[in-house]
Amino acid sequence: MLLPGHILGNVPLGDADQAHLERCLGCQADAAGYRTLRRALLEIRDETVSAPPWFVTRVMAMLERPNPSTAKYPRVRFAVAFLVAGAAVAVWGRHRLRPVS
Amino acid sequence: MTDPGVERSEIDGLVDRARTGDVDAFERLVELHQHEVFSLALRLVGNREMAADVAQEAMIRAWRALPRFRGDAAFSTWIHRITVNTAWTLRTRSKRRSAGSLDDVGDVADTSWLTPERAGESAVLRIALRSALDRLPEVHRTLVVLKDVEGWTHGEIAESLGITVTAAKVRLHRAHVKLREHLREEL
Repeated sequence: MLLPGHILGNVPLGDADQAHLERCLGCQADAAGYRTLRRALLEIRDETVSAPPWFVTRVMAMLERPNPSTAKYPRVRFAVAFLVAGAAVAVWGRHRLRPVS
Repeated sequence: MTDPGVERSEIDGLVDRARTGDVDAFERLVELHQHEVFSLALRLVGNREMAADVAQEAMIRAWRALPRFRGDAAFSTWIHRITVNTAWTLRTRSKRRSAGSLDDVGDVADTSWLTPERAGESAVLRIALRSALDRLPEVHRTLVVLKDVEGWTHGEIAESLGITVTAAKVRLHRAHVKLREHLREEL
């Protein structure tokens, strides 16, 4: 329980634990493994991977689009289409019901 | 990290302007932080394609949330937190779509970022660590990246992930034990 915190988190070991570590080959092997892990973590800590070259352009382009959850235009368009369709049906129905002279 | 040549005051000025809707100021902020946000996203999700999606979404969320940004923390710290939350959300969404896969197994380590200049022992160690990280369950991977790579405190991690500090410490310990074993297998 103590080794990861000691080696990765710089938590000091108590005297008894330190004495045990100095005697126990198994714990020494574990400690070596954690030191390797610490070295590897330090390797990637300062590493920065470049974003793709198109990244900024794409982000800014996406900012220009309206937020789909708040955009009113699609709802308005649907409402207008519904009214137009309803009016068309009403006109067609009246034409069908006109008595034949 | 943000270019050290960029003064904190410049960033604060850009943030103040972006908060009022200045798109040019926000674009400059995106330019300054794109690499660190992408790097963090890549460490969290393990492949470039998803990392790009995460980083993009994080920037967009930051734009929308800017009016609520109080400036208590540095802008980079704030956007890092947004990136972590976004990675969590998108990763969860992606796992739901690919139900039936081994959810806790990460993607094959993406080494396309490795350039010839990075060849050598340290590169071997980095590749091995990335493979080992990819094998961790998502929670453990996130904990290691945030604590050991990004330098977050246990409290910050707990708050971001919605867990207690004790849970963060216990899970981080388990993550370290597994990671050590995986790294030994990779090397």
